[in-house]
Amino acid sequence: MSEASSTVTDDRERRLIAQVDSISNQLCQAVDGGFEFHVHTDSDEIALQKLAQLNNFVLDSVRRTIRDLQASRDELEIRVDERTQRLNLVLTATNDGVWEWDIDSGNITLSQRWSSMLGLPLEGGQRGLDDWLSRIHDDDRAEVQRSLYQHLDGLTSAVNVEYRIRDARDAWRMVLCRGLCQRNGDGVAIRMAGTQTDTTEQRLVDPLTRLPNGAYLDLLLQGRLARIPFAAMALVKFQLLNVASLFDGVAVDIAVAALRGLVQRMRRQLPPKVALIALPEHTFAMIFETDAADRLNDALEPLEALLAQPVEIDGQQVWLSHVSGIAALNPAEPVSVDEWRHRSRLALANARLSGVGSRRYYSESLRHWERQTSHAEQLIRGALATRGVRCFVQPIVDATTGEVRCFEALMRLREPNEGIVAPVSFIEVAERSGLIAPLWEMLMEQALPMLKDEAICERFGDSFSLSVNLSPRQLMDPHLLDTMIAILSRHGVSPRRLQIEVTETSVLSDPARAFRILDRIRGAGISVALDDFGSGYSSLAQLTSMPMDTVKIDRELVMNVSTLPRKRHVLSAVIALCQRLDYRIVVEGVEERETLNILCDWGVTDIQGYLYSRPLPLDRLVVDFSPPRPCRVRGAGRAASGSSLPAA
Amino acid sequence: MIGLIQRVLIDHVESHYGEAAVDRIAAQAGVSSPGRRIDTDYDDADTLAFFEAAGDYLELHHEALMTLYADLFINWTRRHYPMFFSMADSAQAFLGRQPAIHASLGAGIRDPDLRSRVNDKFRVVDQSEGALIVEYRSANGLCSLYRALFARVLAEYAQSGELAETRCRHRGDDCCRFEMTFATGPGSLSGSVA
Repeated sequence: MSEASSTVTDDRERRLIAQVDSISNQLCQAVDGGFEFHVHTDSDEIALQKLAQLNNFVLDSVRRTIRDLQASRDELEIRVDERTQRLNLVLTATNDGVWEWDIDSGNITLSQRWSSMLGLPLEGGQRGLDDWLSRIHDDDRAEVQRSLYQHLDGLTSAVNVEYRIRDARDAWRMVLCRGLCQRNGDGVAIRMAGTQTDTTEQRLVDPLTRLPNGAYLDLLLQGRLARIPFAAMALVKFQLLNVASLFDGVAVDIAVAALRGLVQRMRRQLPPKVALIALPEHTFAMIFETDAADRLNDALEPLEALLAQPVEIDGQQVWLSHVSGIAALNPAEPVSVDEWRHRSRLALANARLSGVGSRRYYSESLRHWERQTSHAEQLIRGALATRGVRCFVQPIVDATTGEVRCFEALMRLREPNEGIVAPVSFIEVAERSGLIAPLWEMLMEQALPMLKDEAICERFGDSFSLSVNLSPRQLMDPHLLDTMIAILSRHGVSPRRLQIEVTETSVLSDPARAFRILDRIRGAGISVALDDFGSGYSSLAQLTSMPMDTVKIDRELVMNVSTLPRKRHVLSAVIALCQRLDYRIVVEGVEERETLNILCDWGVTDIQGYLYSRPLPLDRLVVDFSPPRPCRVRGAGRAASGSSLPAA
Repeated sequence: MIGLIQRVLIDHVESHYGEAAVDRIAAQAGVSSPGRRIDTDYDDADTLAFFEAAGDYLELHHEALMTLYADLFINWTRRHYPMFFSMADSAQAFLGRQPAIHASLGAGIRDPDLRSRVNDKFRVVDQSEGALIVEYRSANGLCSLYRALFARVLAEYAQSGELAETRCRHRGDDCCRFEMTFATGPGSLSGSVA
């Protein structure tokens, strides 16, 4: 190669190297991760142009790939954003909070909603599982932990547990926690996440009144008793007795609205910090921070004053009756939740027996009363199970003829250890518990056959009637008449040979209804007697309005009438009134001959009492009782002694 | 149009008929200096005018010029871009990759719009064993060149096949659509064009 030729070649090589170097230098721009440049060459060499062109193709491909990746990422972000929005919408709509537990670190991440559900400030960052668990109710914590770890260990398909959790106000909320574990390819848990749903409304709120319910009361009681130091408190139970009156003849939704309005007014009568809690049977509970009776009375008075006013409903006014029972706790005498609740229940039960408007405080005497009540109930149930009901009878004698007009059937129970038990030991409990009805039916099954008993009829004739007592509860039973007719029919006895005895108190709770029932009974041929007239607070008004045939004058009006002139005046006036009103009269509790003579002088013929016979077991009647001799009515000369009936 | 297209024709005229022939054709086409850089985009109208003038000069009607050009193009690119040929083991593989090759040739264009136009000219619509559908979308309307190249590529790979142009801009369609089939075994050396 000549020197000139060699020089040309060298020049060309240098130019080529320079151009390649130029292209390489341009490519250095890519070290910053940017590919928005073009490779250029001034060379006429096709190989260099090709190099530049293919570099540009590679760069363009990189740019395209980046653009495609960016577009994919943008699209993914949009989709993630949309899904997040949808999820947030669902979570907002369902009122759910979200939690996530990172298994390795043990950290819990809680959503804003989770915190706000409990009224807690949103604390950024993470917290430990114990933080969460510490808010859970002591009685529920173990179950929550068990549910979490059972799912973590793969024993359950999901976490699903409901529990109570303390909110920022130290009140309890009910929540439902659901969650799932995310696991790696080896099945090892990486994280667990889920939702927390506030179920307080469903679990801790009474659907009728929308007040906190009994489950919420349990939480409050536990919380109060767990306080240190233990303070004086009182659990008050306040019962509305006749809420059913709100619903009489009124659409249910209107009655419910009226009841809700009433409970809200009741709530406003209480101090703001005292929750009004709805319990079954229209009973409300409150916890006061005192055991002083005067302060409790002061606190309850506004509530009672509110109920002294009628409830307006559908243009009508309804008065609601109430009673209350109070269980105050002394700081020196802490008790369990169950015991506290029990004491308030006893006080309320006793208040119910004491009449409307009663307010009863728990005391040890109530415990004694409870034991007696419990004993009586056992006695009754035992008697029902062993057919231990015994029918005793006491004759009602026509003193002027000596004939038995009627036998009153009286209930006794036979108890293996105690022998024959008198009604005073069980009748009140039987009435309250509703067991009076089966007892009464057992009594009737024994008593009715006496109307056809050969020996009895031979001794006392076949025209006497049978008189039985009805309790207030039985009287209001809409099936009473059907039951009586069925029993009479079964024994082939005419209704005209049956008399029922009811007391004034039986009709007092709802006279109009009671009178309708008595009318139907009389319409069926059964006689009605007003029993125990003159005992307690008798009302003469009942004498003019009550549908009845006979007035039975109580022994209280009769006792010592022969020696107490003022008492004699009262009795004579009552008898005169009944005679004027054309009622038959039976005088009870006659024990002395002199009393009998006075009554006979006044024209009273039907006498019941120890003078003739004490109550006898039915199977001893024929043996132990014979019809007495007629009582001879004394002459008119006795009128001077004041024993003759005054002229009407 | 990318300079490579024009460069192949210029090289042929220059090597066979001398620089003067190139100047004469350029003068007839009204192009002062026909571009030769393969990494540069030149005016489409100038390129088309140069092709037309070259046909006149070579006394070839359009189809014949396209057939000649297809042969020149394949020979030129096989020399300068042998990898494209060794990458494809069949005519179908080569033509299936052709849109990407075309895009690589236009990658040097700086203007993104122009570059996109070049990139989007050819598109593989469908591809299966023995069948290939390609759409060509350009105002230049050089579907005749594609048909000639199809035949030349078949020859290059010693294969036979058929091409049907089911759509054509010259017939008012929005693009030209080539539906090609390829014989699986060696067949006649030339393809047929419907």
